[in-house]
Amino acid sequence: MNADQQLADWHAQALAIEAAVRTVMVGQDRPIRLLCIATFTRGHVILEGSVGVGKTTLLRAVARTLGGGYERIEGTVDLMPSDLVYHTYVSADGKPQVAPGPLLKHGEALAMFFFNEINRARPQMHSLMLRVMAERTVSAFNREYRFPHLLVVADRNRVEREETFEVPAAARDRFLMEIEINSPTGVTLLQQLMVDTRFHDTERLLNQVPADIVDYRDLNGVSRVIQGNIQTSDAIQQYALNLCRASSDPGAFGIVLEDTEMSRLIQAGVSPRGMSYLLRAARVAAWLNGRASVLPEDIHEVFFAVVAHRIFFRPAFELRRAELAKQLTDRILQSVAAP
Amino acid sequence: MSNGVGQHSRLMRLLSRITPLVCLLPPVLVAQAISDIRIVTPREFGYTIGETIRHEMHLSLAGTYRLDTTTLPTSGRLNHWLEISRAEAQIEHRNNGVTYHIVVDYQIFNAPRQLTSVTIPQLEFLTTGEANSIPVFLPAWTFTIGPITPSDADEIISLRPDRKPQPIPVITRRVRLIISTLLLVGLLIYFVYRRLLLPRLERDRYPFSEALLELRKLQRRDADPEIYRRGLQTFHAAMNATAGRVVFTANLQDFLAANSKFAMLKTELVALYARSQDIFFKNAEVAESATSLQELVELCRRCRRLERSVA
Repeated sequence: MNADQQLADWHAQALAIEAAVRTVMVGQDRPIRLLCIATFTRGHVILEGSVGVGKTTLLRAVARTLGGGYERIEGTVDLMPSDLVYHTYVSADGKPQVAPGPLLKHGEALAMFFFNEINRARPQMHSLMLRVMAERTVSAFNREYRFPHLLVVADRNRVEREETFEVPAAARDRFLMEIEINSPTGVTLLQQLMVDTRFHDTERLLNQVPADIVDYRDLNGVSRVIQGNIQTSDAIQQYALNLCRASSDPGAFGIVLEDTEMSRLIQAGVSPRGMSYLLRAARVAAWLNGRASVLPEDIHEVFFAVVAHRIFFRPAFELRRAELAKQLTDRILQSVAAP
Repeated sequence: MSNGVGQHSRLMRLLSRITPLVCLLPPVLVAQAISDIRIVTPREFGYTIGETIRHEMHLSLAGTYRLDTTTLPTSGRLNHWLEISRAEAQIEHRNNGVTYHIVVDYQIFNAPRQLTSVTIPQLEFLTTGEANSIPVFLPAWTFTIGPITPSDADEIISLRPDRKPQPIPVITRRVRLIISTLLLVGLLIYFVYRRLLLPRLERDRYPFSEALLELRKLQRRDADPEIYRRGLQTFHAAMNATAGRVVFTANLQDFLAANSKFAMLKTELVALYARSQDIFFKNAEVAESATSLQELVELCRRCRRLERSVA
């Protein structure tokens, strides 16, 4: 099977995943599309949103379509790295036992690991997750465990900030995307979520999602084919580069935000890793949009999710991050010309 | 009171009178040049500050001899007591020569505390003829200046300080200066507006006008795919400037909705954006560059007409 045929087949399957997840997550088409892009880019994701908007349901639905192991852990202040690796208990015959923790339980079959409220966990946990995300390995029981198909999805609660440990810049940079999940705004949708009994039982709801639409073990290979076959012209590469440069030095591109001293705003813009992620995600977006070449629209589709959490504001502006990041990325897209 | 020297016609008598006034030249030469000389001075006493003293010399020269008027003293301060307020010579032609009426006015501008003797230094004039020059001297002259206050004036009267100089009336000049300055500033403002600000305003207000100029420049160059790409970029820049943001294929409809005067070019603009997308992002081959650029220029010209029209 040639690459074009392979891409076409997988394109249909990717759209099937989206359609399946949309049946249980109404009004969240954009997060579903972004999560799908992240899945096929093989990049980790931070979810940020209010409580009760269906983040866990979304992840479980996606995990069900991919197959493979799914695990989750709740971030708490007393959570230690060992809690991820093993747990101890007393067996039925009264002997102490050591069993693999959530990270090791599925071995190489672990396809999705959901770290809920990552900012409640201590920096030691962040550090362990950094290694798992970067290398997809962890050392335990005198051996190295590999997770070649692992996708880490972390959730950050934006409502409560007390007694939390902000995910450090280095860790944030390793996430491909930060996806915002907001409550649906349409009255009809909200009414549907409130009234329709289908949404009352999450387990039953998730059972409606077709399982194993794709084989999670194929995802790395498909991702390579996508990256190798979706074209990026010189103009689009230059455009993506200019967008990233504008995140570091918006003044050079004539970008001004109201009531903001631009020369003191940015501490660091998009990193080289972020630049690479932007184009990789744009290729997948183009593929999902049925194109063989990346267009500016494909970059726009992923720009905020890939770039916003990679822009580091000076401390004086960090408190206004949510507002400034949105404004700045919007202005960058409005101001940087292509071609 | 005059101390004038009397007129004598005989050569020897003349020579005997003017000998002290000329330098040590051969007497025959002096006699050939100077036919008569008469000096008139005023009294030598009773002067006070502010008075003027006039010295006159009536010098008759024979033949071609003439006074070198550049040797007359210039006006200005002479010494501690005096200044020369005027020094001039008037010429009177005669049958066998000329007579110069030389007048030198001195003014006393200082007042002594007691009677003081002051000497006006000797002045030297030069007369030139065909072959030589002969100096003529107005001899030193001594006179007395009297005080205008008693010697013990400091004790019995208080002297008024020097009178301050009166300001020169400059109101006319000041008005002229203000008017000139205002005129100059006005001209500068006009220059800045006309040469710097207006083109920028025009460019901001009429981006397609600017783009059309650029496209015509490109047209003058050899047809080349790269030239066409630059032409497209120029056109895109004008679209972006008109919209106030970057216009992509995806938001072209928004642009047309916000700028309704361009709506009549919808088909052409959509086609152009599709073509541009193919060229820049899908690496499509660029063909018929010259024709395409001409089409682009024509579209730009139509856009320029529309941007200047009222919506």
